[in-house]
Amino acid sequence: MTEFDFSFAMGLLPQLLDALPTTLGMTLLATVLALGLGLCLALSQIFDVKGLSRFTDFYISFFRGTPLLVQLFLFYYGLPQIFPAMTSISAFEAVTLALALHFASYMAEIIRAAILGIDRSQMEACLSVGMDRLTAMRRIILPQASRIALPGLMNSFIDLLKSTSLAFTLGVTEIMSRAQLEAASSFNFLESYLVLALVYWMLVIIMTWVQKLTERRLGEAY
Amino acid sequence: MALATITNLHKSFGENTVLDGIDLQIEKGEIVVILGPSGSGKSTLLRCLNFLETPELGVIDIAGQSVDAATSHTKDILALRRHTAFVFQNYALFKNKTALGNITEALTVVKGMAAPVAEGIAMDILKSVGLADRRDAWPSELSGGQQQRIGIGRAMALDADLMLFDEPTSALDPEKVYEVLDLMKQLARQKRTMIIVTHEIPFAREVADRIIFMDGGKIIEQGMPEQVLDAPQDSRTQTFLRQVLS
Repeated sequence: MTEFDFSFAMGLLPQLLDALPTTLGMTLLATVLALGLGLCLALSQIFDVKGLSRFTDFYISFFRGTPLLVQLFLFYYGLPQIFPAMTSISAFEAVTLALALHFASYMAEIIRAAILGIDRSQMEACLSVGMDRLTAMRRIILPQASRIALPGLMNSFIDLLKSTSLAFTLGVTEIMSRAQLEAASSFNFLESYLVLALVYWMLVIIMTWVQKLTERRLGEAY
Repeated sequence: MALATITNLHKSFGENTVLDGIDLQIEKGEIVVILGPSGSGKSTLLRCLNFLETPELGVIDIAGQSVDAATSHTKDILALRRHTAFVFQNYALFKNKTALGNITEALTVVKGMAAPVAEGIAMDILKSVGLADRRDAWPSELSGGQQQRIGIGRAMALDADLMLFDEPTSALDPEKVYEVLDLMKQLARQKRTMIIVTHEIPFAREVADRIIFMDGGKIIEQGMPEQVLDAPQDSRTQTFLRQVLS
């Protein structure tokens, strides 16, 4: 058995940090897209938009019902066979889009449940002062629902960050692939993956801290 | 001409008929109190007037805006609602808005007023409901009576043609009821047109121009307060009054 190689571990950290912008880029882009899409999906179900809400049911069923890795491969390798335009898509873009589509289905359910958790008298009060339903959503319902949805959305956000590690399978140079490369060339598997795990963990700790601050701010009215 | 005309209003929930052909005219400046046992349809009638509930049948005309339930369009319903203001039994203040924000919200968002103008109006209203010092309080920090006074303030700010009150004191602790009733008496003196569903008989006697008694989704009898309260004609009115006054 060999000793834990501290100097290797310390040397690996800057290399991982070098690849960190790619991981964070995928995470932030995919989160913004997933939130936007998730909100649209949730609203289409809440308002029971004709035709659209059935599509939404199908969408959520598919993206929750199949593994993310399968969706990634389908997106990157499979779809270009039918849509030649997609052959020019980069691995980074493919992963970001697939993550967004995947997590939108979870976020849609979290947002929908949060909206349904708001007492219906809030919507009635909005209507009684002459607001239309969309304005009521924007001004009164969604701000209140965001507080309820926050813990669940944060879970998805954390899950999404960790899922960017699957991007190494498509050859994106993010922190997972960098760690794997260093591990394979040095045989320091323990050090490489431990440092990698710590980097993910630190990121999640920072996000949890941001969540606490946000919860406090959103909760001041209650 | 009447300010509001309701013609042949019908509403049912499933098998249960709640409004069974209501005809009603309200004059400008008139204060109408609706009495009746629970389940008589009085709250539903109020909620149908601004389409919080959608009636199956009937025509509602308020200040010239007419909506036929059978052919109602979202746009017309919105226009009708903007002639009304509503005060809820459970206050239903916007929970994410301060006392001031609850009153300015519709002024800026619906009426398109500039924020300083809306705040000026809202502060005047907060003064008249006696809560100017609570302008920055969240609803969760206010007592029930204070919340309802803000709820009435929110309705006052709309300056609507017709104010609707759905059991505004029913959720309040007994000792807080008077502060809300006092405020409503103040509105009555300003000759606002109001329809009030309540169980407060002495209050009804004091402020109402007309009292309507409902039962089983129908208007059973109506008239001046002394007429309905002291010499009720229908046996159902007599029974109801005996129960609530005993």
